[in-house]
Amino acid sequence: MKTSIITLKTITIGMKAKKTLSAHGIKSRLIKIDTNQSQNGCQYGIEIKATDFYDAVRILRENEIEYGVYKPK
Amino acid sequence: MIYFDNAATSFPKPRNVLNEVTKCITKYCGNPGRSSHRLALSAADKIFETRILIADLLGYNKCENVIFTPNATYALNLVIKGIISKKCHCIISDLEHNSVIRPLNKALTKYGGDLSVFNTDIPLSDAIVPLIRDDTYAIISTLCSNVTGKIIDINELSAIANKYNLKLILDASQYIGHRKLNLKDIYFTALCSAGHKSLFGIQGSAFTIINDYGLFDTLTEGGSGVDSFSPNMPILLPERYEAGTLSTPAIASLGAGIEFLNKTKIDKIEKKIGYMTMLIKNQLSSMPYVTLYGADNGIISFNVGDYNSSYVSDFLDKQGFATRSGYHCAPLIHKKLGTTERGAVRISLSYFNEEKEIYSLFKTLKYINQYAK
Repeated sequence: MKTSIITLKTITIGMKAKKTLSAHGIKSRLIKIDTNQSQNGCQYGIEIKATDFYDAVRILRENEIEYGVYKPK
Repeated sequence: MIYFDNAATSFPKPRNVLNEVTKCITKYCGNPGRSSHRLALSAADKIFETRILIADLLGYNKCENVIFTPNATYALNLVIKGIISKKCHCIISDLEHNSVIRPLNKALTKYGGDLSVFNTDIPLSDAIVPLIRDDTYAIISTLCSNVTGKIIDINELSAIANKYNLKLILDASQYIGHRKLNLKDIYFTALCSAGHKSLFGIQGSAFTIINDYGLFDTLTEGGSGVDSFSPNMPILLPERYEAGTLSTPAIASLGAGIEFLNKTKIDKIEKKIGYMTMLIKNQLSSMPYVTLYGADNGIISFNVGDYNSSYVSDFLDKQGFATRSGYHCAPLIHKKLGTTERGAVRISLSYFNEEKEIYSLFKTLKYINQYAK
């Protein structure tokens, strides 16, 4: 299954994003971003189905959850 | 032992709190916010869940603004020393604990500021407004005295602070859990509370809600699990103010304590505590040699005859009652009550106290009262 990753600045934002997406029916998994992809040290992100990507980004934006760069896996 | 020292720390804890602490230590106590294995993420999940429980309990919508601290004193040090970062004037109540007085004194001394104390025996606006000066920056107040149980009206306090554009720092350690508190539409800068008193967490659990986020300075710096290559703490809440490993068992216990409150209902707790407080107040008032200083919200302070409070409290201990004597780390109210020589005996209740325990205490107090003069 093709997945996408949305990076988030902290684990708390990651948890909040996961809970918010779940409330909208989007499953996600909290992960630690690979060190070669993270910015300025340790960083968290959520992994979602690639097909959910645009909906997920919209929901995060609507809920004022700040997200960072995203990289298709 | 019949325990009447719940304002110091509540005892016993609800069964579900004990179960959660055991479960945490034996099943999921990884380091929250550091690693990404299942145990670490389970611990982080529990901590996030507790942030939501606290925010929901207080009608507050930003769970990320809930900052966990080891105790309420630490929370008050964090916000007072962070917010008071210039020469200014502050106003505090005459009920304050040393957890407010000492960090504030240190911050004001550092910048050459000063403070005024408002009288809680008169209407708040009459007490506070005349003290406000051009350089007044903050009001810092408890919502409930840990000596007399006196309640300060948060709505009135908040309205004054808002009207005069002052920071408002609240200490709710003796309030939350016994009374309902809804922060929705309440103007405040930060609210601090212990978790191990009427919220039924274990010692090591406390928090502050930082509402007016102006990126004030940190009290401690260290690992945060993010931005590892930056020499500075992250700017985002809550990580900015949570350097080092959080105590997952303590935070999990606090979450379980709040779940117990939600299940039991605070209205029911307030009613029971109110009834028992009134019962004690009425009985003590009928004893000729008892001087009663205050009785509200499950906190009752008194002396018997001319006995020192420590003598009475020690006698009660020998008879199987846990109370607290002395000054309760609240020097201003003891000066006001005229108890600087001998302190006062404090009874403080929890939901788990029973009426029969109170009648048992009365028997012993009546015995002491017989020999008093």
